[in-house]
Amino acid sequence: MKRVDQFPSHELNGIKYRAGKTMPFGATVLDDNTVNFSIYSKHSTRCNLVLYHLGEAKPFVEISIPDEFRIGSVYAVMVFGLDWENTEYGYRFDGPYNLSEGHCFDKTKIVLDPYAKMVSGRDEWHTRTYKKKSYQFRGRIIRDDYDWDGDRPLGTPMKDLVIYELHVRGFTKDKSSKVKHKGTFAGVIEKIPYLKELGINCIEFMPLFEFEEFFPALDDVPTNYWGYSTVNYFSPKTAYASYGKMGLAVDEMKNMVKQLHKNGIEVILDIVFNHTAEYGDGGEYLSFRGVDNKTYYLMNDDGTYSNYSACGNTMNCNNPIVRSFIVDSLRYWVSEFHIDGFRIDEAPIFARGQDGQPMVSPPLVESLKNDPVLSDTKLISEGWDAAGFSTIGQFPTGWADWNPRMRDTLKRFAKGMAEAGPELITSLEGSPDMFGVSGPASSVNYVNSHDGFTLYDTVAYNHAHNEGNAFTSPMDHEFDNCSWNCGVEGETDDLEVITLRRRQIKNIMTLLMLSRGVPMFWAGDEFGNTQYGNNNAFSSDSTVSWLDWNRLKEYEDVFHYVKSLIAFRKAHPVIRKGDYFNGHNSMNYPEVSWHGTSAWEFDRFSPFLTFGFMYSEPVKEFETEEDCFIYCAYNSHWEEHSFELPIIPEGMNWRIDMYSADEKFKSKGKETKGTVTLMPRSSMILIGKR
Amino acid sequence: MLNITKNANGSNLTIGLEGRLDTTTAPELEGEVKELLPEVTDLVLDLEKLEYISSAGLRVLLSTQKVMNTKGTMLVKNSREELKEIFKVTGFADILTIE
Repeated sequence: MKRVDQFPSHELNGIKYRAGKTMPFGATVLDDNTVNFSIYSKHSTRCNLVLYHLGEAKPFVEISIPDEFRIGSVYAVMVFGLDWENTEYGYRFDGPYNLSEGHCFDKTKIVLDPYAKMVSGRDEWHTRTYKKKSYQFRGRIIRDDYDWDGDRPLGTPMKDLVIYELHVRGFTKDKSSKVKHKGTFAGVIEKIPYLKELGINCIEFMPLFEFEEFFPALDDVPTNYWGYSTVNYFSPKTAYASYGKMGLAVDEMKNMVKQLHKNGIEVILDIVFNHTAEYGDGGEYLSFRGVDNKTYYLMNDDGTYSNYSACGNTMNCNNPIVRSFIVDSLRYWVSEFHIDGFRIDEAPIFARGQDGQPMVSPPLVESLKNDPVLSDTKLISEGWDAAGFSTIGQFPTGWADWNPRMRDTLKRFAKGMAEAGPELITSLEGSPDMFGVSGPASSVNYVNSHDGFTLYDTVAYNHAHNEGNAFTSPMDHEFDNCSWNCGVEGETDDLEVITLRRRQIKNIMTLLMLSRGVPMFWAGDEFGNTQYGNNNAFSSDSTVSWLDWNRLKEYEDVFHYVKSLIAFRKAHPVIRKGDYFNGHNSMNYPEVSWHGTSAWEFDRFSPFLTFGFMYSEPVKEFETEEDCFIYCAYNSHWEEHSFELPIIPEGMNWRIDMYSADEKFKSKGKETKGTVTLMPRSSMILIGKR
Repeated sequence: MLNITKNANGSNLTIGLEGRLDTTTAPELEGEVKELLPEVTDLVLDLEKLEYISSAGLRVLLSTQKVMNTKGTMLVKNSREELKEIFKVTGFADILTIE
């Protein structure tokens, strides 16, 4: 039976329309190719809906939305008989232009609906579908009726995750990836067997909402490769789809999530709400600036854009409208794309008020964790913004943080800085001083991410080599890479240096995987991928950033070691424990204990270069197959050292499980008593069992 | 434009599609299918001459498959390579029976 509220009341150029439904925002397909359009704009005086046939420069109709179609601050119009798959849409707003009051309406501009569910304009990577300065990013209309076949977010406990950060394009764009659909969602699917072998169970995707690959202030050659330049918060990046031009980006991304879930791999998205691709003063009119600038952006009294993000503008995240907008976006990704979690870029901006100042109890932060749809969704904060505001460990329980202290202190210790030792111990414990209330699972432990060197470059370069970047940044010279090149800067034929680098990678990954908290590493670090010393490859759409899969063969022993470490972590729940308990357990040993080269003798508060730590893992507490001790000896000194093994109950014996200096894994399973001797800069894991 | 050909043999039906299957033509195919399916137990969709399929077009195939799953079989055959890839990257290949 036809609904009584779906009969046209107006007509223009043969297009029939009527007052629309105020909610939901965005373009919603109703029966019989009717589409409801709804958009918020508080400060505008007029709003036109502009409709284009797909790919055409000029619109086929522009409907001036009558005043009687507006309720509150929402314009809504229902349009009949639309070939909606082949339609693009936008809005033209009129209103005040007075930047000191935050307004900059421009009726000559057509702008993108912030709630558009798919966007055209960059259908192919780094290619303009439409002319520069024209209406470039256009809304497209979809129906969210994907067949999930029983899938939903996996719900893996945070403490059990092993997170793998990757860039959709860079992961498989290089020909060495040998996938069919290079640099796309489908390319990621083709690599699932590899990811399963590696053992990770969560991917954190670098930005994949529709973003701008061009830098507005530069010519069109440099590429904003990373994608921290969001155009729209409800649309997947069309150029990451194999058939994006055919409007299949949504289906393709959903399929990627579904296939990853089928294989036990969760999906976390790196989201960038702190700023947008419209940048700051004099920036482009793409969407928010033209819809309602004052609502969406933090402005200074002098009419300039506040810039806490160091990217030109700052989203007004705690404006009630924007707060709802952000919650709506996250709900959408969780409910329609089955996303398991989010990593919030420059998250302290979620805690800035409408005056830009830090808030005591930021409502956005509170509401996200208590939202009915998002209550089980992982929320990970990058707890610092570009203006020096840090919120690490300060967001409510349930939030996690990227842990930069772990990142730096582990690298410093590994390169031989004894003074980093005491801080390292606290970090390996899961940083109770930072996350004491919420527990180790709030600490995302990482050593390398997209920011900074790859792990290989951490052991191959002392200095950044960013000569090919689009512009200079503090990362070039001021950033402390905490790296050491093992004696030679960059590539070398020196076998001794090459061997040491491999060992250092294994050492660092050993501590990462044996630490309490949630380990994360950068795609390719498991096989020595290099960015040739570039520590800020944001604009490198080239072999600098693309994974070189040939190195997987070259660094086979490193890959095998990392794979084994991940399997080891997954096999031992004591490492993944979700609390800071460190009393004696049912084996009558401390759950985690710290040792020097002599067992039980260790001053964790003074600088050191050698240490051991031991977990005790009783069946009773951890429901494993047998009681077990895990001992890790770490020699960061440039000289050989012997480590006395802790005495374990009679009948139990120590066996070597992994040794970073043993490239052939020949020592695995070797029974050992009394002491073990470690080469300079090496680490060893032993298992104590009956 | 979409040309639809039908070849029925008892409860077996082969539908041939030629041209474009998108929002404008999908309702036409949907209508045909709705009318014919009650009598059909084995359906073949011959896509040899199908040049283009959109998201809406994919959904007509999928909903037809779901109906046929309750009463018989449906086979998609003679798809061009690009169509097969589209089925694969969108995940529809897991749901459709493709020859």
